[in-house]
Order: sequence, then structure tokens, then C-alpha cells
Amino acid sequence: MSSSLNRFDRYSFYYLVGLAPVIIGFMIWAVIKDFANMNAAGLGWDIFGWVFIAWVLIMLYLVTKMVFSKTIRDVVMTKLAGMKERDERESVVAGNAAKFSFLSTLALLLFLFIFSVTTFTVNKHPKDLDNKKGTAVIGFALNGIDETALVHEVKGEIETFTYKSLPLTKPVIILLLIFWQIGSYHLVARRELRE
Amino acid sequence: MGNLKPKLVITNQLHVLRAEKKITQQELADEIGVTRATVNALEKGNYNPSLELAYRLSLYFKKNIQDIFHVEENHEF
Repeated sequence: MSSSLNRFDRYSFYYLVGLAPVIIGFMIWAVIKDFANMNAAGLGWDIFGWVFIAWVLIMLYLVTKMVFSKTIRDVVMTKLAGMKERDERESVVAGNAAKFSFLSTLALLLFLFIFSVTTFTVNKHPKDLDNKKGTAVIGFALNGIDETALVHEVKGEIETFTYKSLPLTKPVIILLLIFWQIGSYHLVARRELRE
Repeated sequence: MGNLKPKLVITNQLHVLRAEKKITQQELADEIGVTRATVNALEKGNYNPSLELAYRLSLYFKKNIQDIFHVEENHEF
């Protein structure tokens, strides 16, 4: 891992991985001890707070960089996925496994997308309406923006901005992933075929 | 799709040649730059090597590729 990453990324990884057990341990402890309602004040908590903030920011930096940097992605994701390409046979095996994974993920994404945009409503009428006792409505609904993801609240003199998740709805995220999978495949395949 | 060619079955003499040289799979793997599992797969006929690897084996055993690998046509579809 160390040789192909620049020094900042390398130390960022050491920080992220080295402190991960402490952070995860703290999160478990915080849930058990109801940390949200504790009075965690003092220098120790301040230092831990800054360490935690740095850890989260580094994690955000690395996951963002991983999307755009092939080097960092190859180093980290091959380790995370346990991909081995020590010789040509393992490269063939990795290629076959990647193809299976790609196609099955695409099928799964398509399944999730279709089921997340399909709506189904059944109405039961107390009285006959046009000689019918009920109606069934089936259709599709696709909303792009998740309005609960970014919250701006004003309570008295306190103004709060809260980020809860990506401000996109689940179907849109899934659709983006589908486009990304097919698009990135064609981009690389066409480039390789042209060479 | 309609013009089906008979499938080529490639067998090899690697097991015999390695036994003649009295070397282990690991030693052969180290010599040709692959893993021991790949040598095992080659010997069992579970994996056909690239031309480059076939040449590396040919150079190592000092034999022609045709003396190491044999091609047979399989007419069963």
C-alpha cells in the first residue's frame, strides 16, 4: 500500500485504520451508556472531539478521493475486496469474478430501482362507486430531491443546519449507480478496444 | 453461431517434465514467475497458459512448445 500512495494519503490511511478500533469502540460504548445525554465536558473530551472530527474528515477526504483517483482506488479496493492478481491465471479469475459481480450488481440495482419507484395503492370503498367496491392504482413515482436530508431549523435564537444524508432520493442514487456502472464499463472497454 | 468449430483440447506434459527435473511445483512456479496454484492448475489441465507463459515453460524445460503442449480436437458439443 505504502509505495504507490503519496505521503499525506499514506498517513491519512494509517490514522484512519489505526484509530478505527478506538472510534468504533467509543461508538459502541456511547450507545450503551447513552452518551447523548451525558455531560461530557473537560479537556479530555475536547481532545477526543478534535481527534474524532479529524478522523471523520479524513474518512470523507479518502472516500471522495477514492472515487476520482485510480491509484488510491486500486490500492484500497483490491485489499478490501481481497482481490489477488499475482499471475496471469489469478488475473483471469479476477476478471471472471469481476464480470459476475458487475452483472449481478447491475441486475440487483435494476431490481432495487424498479421496486423503489413502483407505487401501489388499494382503496376500499364503503359504498359502491360506479358499481365497484374498491380500486387499485399502480404506477411509478420518481422524486429527485430528498427534502429531509438537509434541515434548516430556527428555535428562538438558535439557528441549526443539519446534514443527514445525500440530498437525493434512493431511486435517484440507484439510477446514478446504474448509469455509472454501464457508462464506466463502456468508457474503459472502448478505450481498451481502440488501443 | 451456426458454424461450430470442434473444441480444441490442450493437454500438457508438465507433470512428467517436472518429475524428470525432480523439482516441486513451488520450485517450478518460482522459476516461471507464477503461483504454485497456477502450476497445479496447468498440470491438471484446468488452465491454459498464455503464449508468454508457454514460452517461459518452453525456455525453462529447453523444449519446443509442441513437445510440452498437445492439441486434440474434441468433436463432442
